[in-house]
Amino acid sequence: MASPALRVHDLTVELGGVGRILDGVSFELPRGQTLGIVGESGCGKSMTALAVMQLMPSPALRITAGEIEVAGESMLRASERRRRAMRGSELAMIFQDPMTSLNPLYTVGDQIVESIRKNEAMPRRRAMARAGELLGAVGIPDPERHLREYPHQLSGGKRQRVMIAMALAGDPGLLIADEPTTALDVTVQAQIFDVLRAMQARLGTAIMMITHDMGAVAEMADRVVVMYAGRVVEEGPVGDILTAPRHPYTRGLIACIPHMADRTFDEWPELPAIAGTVPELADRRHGCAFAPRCPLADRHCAEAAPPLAGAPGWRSACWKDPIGARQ
Amino acid sequence: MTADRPQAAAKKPSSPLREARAAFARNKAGVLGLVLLTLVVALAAIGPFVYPVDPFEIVSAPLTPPLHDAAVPLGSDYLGRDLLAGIVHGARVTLFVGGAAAAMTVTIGIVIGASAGYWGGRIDGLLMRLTEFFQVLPPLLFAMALVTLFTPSIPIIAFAIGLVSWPAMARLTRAEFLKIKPLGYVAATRSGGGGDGYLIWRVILPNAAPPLIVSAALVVGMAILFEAGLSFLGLGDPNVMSWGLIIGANREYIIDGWWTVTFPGFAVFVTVLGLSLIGDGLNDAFNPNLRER
Repeated sequence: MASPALRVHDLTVELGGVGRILDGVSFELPRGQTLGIVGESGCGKSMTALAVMQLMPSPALRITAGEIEVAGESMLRASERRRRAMRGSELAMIFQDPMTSLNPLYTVGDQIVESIRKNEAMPRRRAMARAGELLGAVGIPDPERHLREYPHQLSGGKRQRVMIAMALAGDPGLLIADEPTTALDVTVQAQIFDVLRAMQARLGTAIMMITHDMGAVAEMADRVVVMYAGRVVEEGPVGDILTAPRHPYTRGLIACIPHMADRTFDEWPELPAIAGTVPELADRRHGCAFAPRCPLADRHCAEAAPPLAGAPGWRSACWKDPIGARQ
Repeated sequence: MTADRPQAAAKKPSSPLREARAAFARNKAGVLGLVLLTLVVALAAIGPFVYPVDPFEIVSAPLTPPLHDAAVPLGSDYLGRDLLAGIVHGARVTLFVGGAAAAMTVTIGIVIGASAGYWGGRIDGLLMRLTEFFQVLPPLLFAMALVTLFTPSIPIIAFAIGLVSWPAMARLTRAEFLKIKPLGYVAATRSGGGGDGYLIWRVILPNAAPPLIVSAALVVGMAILFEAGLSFLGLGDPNVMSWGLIIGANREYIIDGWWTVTFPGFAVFVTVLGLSLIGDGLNDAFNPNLRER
């Protein structure tokens, strides 16, 4: 069997002297599928993405254990030169804010051409033609004109489409999308999801989508990884998790999705929220990190961290989950 | 961009460079500066052919006032040498010193500042301590020491000025790199496989360029003043006519022959003013907040 597009195993990232930002994170993303990674801010979602890219923002952050394999090749053991070659051709990333993710000094065409030629040597004119095709594929009308435009002349939605075109220029097997639609309005969000799905169907790209929006996960993902305070707390197929979440944190996240359909504005109930915030890195102690905010927590939860347990395919890390962990 | 030419704006996508050029053209002071500098450059380029009098040759009575002798329209210096010839021939030397010193300042400043800002950490600390070491030395005294250490010649003078002037440029470059490095497009380029060299030269430096270009224009003016100052102190190259050398040689005759220092001083003033106005104009042109509409 072919190796998955991405395999993260027991990934641990430490901030020198302070604590573990990621603690034993494991998941797999099969080729051509979409994996949603959800959680609040500070749960380690973006850190996971940066670790996979091997673009850690600070030398104080070190990977102290675990393995990251992209299409079966270890990112951790690869030389920096090999990693650079892999970025763009094996795995690529799009970012949250399309407004700042494009270089303001070069035209859209020039930037896509750079991405294309970094991965495949070809004459400039042919690369520009490819860039035009890519822009068309991500749903930008009149690509010839937009190739000559500068980023500040494009709307946010178009810029994010350009980012997707650039990321897919090297035909990578894995695309990491870090909150790709957070900075965009809802109608544009739906269009961007359509583009991602269309490109996935066309190129067979696996997508690792980071989001705090359960609605986006429901729409896009095949599988979900729920992260809390640097750990995976639940992991499974999107349908199962959305209909019968097993971890109380997942239940809390799902309860936060507003349901518009069956209510008028007047009877709109107060939107539920999970009380409290994600603990600071220095405050994380032994025991379940979610225990202080968990309605089900008891003494045992505060003393020992629950392992990720259950049948492979759908696991959760909670002492109170009858299917998973046993006390 | 402009309301009075909607078709032109619609036809051509406005590049950042093109916009800056248009903004510079609207800035009267900046255009005046460009005109002044163009005149000085033209003087340096063709003056010696049009007015081929040897500036070291004694052609008149010492301290002939201007407009008294047709042979020396701007008067003569304390030895009877033609002042106009000195100014015409000195333009090249003055501009060469300014340009060479500025080139050296910019090169050292950008290499050190970019390395410090890009890599940060220990490299940053080391390079910034080095920068501070140069910065705390009084520039004029340091340059004087360097020039006296070697024989005073034009290349040595330009080298000395460059060597004492780069710290400000390095700090500015580092600050710009620190500002731009965390921006989204740097991370996006890196995640697309861009290496360090590509990021520094093709991504960050072009975006950091506007304040560096402004600063470079001002450095040229400052270097010209510096050369004049060194010459005034008697540390210029005595074998090459520069504006500073004329001022320095005649400084003792300022009461009896005001013209001997006034005309070369005015030439320095016009050149440095032109460069400063250009610098200001570029600054406004690159700053979108000051741009009209």
